[in-house]
Amino acid sequence: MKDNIVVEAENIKKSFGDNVVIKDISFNLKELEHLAVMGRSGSGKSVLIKSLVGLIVPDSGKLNVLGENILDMDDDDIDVIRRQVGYLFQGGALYDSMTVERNMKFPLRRHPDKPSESEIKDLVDETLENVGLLETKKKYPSELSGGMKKRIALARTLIMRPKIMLYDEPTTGLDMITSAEISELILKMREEYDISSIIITHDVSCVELTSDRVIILGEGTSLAEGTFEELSNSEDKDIRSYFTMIHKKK
Amino acid sequence: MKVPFSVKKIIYVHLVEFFDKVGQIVHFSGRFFKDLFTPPFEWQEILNQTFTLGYKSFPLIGVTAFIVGTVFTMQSYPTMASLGATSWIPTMISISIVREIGPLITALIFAGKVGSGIGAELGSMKVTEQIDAMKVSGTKPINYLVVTRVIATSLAVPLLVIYTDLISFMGSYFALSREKDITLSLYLNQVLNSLDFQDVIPSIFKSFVFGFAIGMVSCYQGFYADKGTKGVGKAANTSVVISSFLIFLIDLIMVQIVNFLFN
Repeated sequence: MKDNIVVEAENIKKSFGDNVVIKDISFNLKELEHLAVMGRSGSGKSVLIKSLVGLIVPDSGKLNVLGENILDMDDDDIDVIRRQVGYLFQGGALYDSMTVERNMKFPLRRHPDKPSESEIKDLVDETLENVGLLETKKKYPSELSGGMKKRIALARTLIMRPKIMLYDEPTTGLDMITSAEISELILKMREEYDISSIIITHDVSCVELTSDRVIILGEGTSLAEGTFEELSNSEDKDIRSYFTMIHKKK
Repeated sequence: MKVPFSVKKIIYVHLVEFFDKVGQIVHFSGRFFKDLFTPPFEWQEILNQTFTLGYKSFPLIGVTAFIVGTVFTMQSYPTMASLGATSWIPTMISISIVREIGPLITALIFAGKVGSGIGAELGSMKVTEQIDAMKVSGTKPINYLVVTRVIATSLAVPLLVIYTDLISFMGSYFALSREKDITLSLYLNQVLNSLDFQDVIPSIFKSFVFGFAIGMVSCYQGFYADKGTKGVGKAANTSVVISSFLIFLIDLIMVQIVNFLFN
């Protein structure tokens, strides 16, 4: 982990009508750091992560990604930042009318500095091989299992060689074995591609395996921040309760 | 009389929703026209969409056009016969079909079949976060999904209108030849001789505008579909309803413009 800050959020607030989802959240992410964000459903985790790529615009606050204040940017400028930030959606969000290969090629072919077709082919093969799914190239997303879809979706974001990865509940909806495989893949990819990441998850095992630091969100604000060890052994039983699953397992 | 607070609040909420929608439409249209002239240009995708959307509509539009031509002739024959003007039927049919019925029938069928399909397709992409996935990878979904489809619908409708006109003429000849001794070449000769520039060009231009409106409305509805399967259904349904209404509205405006320019 380095000292450079790649994401800096200050006093972020967001409401939808009368529903205040984020009251006041500030945090930062250092280069090559892996931050897990935990919290109950509706605590604003997904809203927070979507704000980082401009899918949701906060009502107020400051949001710097890779040194740029994305709240002041127009659509074209923010696209430049987006190409350096990978986002793994909860459901994978693979383009269902395209084969796996076309899914992988799509962001590269639409890139302003589009590589040659042979370079694109090599990148697709290399990245698919890294997630262990080279043989699925000609398949459509509907022919893949939930775990495979997540791995392909991860490969599709990694093919852009992002500096930051955002994972929105990467193991939700998967069985325990596949969840563990995805967590290990996240770990492998961070080592392979030298990326910083923010992982939104309820999965305690995933947090323990992949994160350097954990933030717990609740009631629209940050309830606690620390390493996995610090928070899972917290004196506050409410904070400890977020980790009870793993305590029970142990 | 004192207006209850809840009524004020309801009006306020509706006004906010209305202006929010207007803002959304302006942003969408602005983005569309910007992306229309911004690379990358997806020629292959435009060709694919034009072929797929047009090809999909061929059988339904063909059958409907034939029936319309047949029925129109069968309905008008007795009146024309009583006036001793059956020889004018090909002329009447050609002008009414080329100027009005062909573009209108084609656009309405196209809105029902293709407009709802586009609304549902993009709506489902929105619900499953595929559009968001395109956004976050910086691949400009409006450029790829909307521009290609709107160009495709704008090209497909005029082509289908020409097809509709031809098939309607065949339907009309089928009905007329049962009542009257007329050869196909004489019939087509009369049909084509009665048409001129001011019948054909405005009709093609009108069809282009119909196609553009269907594409824009359907893409907008799909692009901003509400979450959930209900949102997809609503996007498909609203695409058809608004497109159909706009087709009549555009028709009305275009008739005024054509009359002003040519008469």
